[in-house]
Amino acid sequence: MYDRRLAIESVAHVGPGQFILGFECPEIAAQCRPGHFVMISVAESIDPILRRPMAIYRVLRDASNTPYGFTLLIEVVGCGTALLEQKSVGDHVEVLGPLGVPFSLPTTDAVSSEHLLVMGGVGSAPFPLVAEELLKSGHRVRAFVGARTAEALLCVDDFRELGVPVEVATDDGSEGFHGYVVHPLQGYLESKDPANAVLYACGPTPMMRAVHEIAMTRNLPLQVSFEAPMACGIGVCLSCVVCVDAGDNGGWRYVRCCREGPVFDSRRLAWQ
Amino acid sequence: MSGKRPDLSVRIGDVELSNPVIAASGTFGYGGEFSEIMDLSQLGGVVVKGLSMHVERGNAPPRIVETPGGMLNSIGLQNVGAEGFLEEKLPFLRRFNTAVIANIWGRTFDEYIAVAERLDGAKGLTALELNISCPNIKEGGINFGTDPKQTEQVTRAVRDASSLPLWVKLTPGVTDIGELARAAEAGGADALSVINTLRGMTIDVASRRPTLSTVFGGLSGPAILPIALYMVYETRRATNLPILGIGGIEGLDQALQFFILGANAVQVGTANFYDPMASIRLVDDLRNWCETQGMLSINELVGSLESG
Repeated sequence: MYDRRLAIESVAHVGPGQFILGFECPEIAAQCRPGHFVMISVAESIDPILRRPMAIYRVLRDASNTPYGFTLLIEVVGCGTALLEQKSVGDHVEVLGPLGVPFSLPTTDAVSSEHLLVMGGVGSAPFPLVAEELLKSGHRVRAFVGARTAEALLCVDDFRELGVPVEVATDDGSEGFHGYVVHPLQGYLESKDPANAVLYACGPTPMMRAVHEIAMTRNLPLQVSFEAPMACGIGVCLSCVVCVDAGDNGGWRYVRCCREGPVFDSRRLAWQ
Repeated sequence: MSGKRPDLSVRIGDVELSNPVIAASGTFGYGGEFSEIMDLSQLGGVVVKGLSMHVERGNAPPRIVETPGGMLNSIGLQNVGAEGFLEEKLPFLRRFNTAVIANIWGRTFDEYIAVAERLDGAKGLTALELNISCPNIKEGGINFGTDPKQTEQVTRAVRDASSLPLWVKLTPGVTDIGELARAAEAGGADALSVINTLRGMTIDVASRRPTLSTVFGGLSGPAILPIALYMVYETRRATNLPILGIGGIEGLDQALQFFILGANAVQVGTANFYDPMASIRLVDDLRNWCETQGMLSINELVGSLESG
């Protein structure tokens, strides 16, 4: 974990209110794992005052494959992200990271399993890195990408470049399946019935809950990446708690999304 | 270059701190997380998250909302309990050359006494900070901090239950904080922490509901700086006890204002969330500032307010 004042090295607008910020920071880049996040400042003034949590999108590597930077894929959802959208190359922000528990990805063992990545909206951001890592160790990967509209779809090109098969769903039917992304996932599982599929999900909570129910029904492992309002990102403010089963007679307790998460085994979470 | 660097050490009653910068309760956990990015020994002290006798789950989320220049929180004093602190957290903090202050709270008089007794004599604990000012629990807490009689009684009860130096943390949510300061002093307080958060709320317009699950929460951050400064001013007029100034401190300028008003040390709170190196940087900035002013000790600044 490092706290660094970084210059924005690149800005790319990729969709409606969607953009990618690039940074050079070898220390942070070297520690980034798929599913990690950073806390990034949005204003030079004190309004808004808090940093925002953002998933690591891609790790940048030089010709010798050494990590030297990283990018963040961001969607405008409020005043903080709207301020970030106005940033230009050369502007500075404070970045603390990498933070959190990343996805738990298999090593080269058990390459027979198929890894299904299910995502909605800006929840797609961590998955190209997940796919990259899984492909590196010889695993089969398939992506299910959902968004409101065709132009709001994220990461589809990343997956295609990686050679990952992609199934798309849009709320308005402007591309792919007309409806929620869990339907193509359900369809795929029904037609192929892969007994050793491994699921990963990030997106709106109702979407993740639906994937959780599918995983439970089919007895498939699922990791979900959650988000919650957080002030510090390092586990001291106790704002971002989520409810987990304590395992003792229906008991429950709060854990910190930023520290024990943001990636959780979906069976640990108290979904109700 | 002068050979001798300014002395930042301060005394809070019988407690000597290596410098006057302390991390405020509820913004620094139990130190473990921050130790990953800084050397805790560089801080004057660490006040740990408010401890109760038993483990506390805290309030339902949403627990925070951002406000102009600050934030509201309603954490509900989630903590590991006195036992958990002694077993899992304090041994780690003992490794550092920094004062460790246990912030304690209860829902009843007896709970305050119980947690104070349990922590008494714990190796590596420097002082207790009595939290009678948290706005986020249903019973106890702030109720002990708004009635001078109860403030004096609970302070005395904890004073009698523990041999540790006792700091009492006051709420700004009273008409006359001087009266509460004198009540805490009468009960045997060794120092006063001024201030805790102020009650506030926001509304989510779309749903017409309070944003926080508990309706209201505690306001902190730069937004409360002028209130905190005024409360320290009033407290200093009411008592000669050492004061720990808290509220809206982000860096040097705010800290200096507290010292001029008569605070003997400062606590950095909400800034730890959005600028995790703020407290460590403040130590360096204070030392450099004293040097440029030709001060040999930070104590030369304390209470130097010019009148009129």
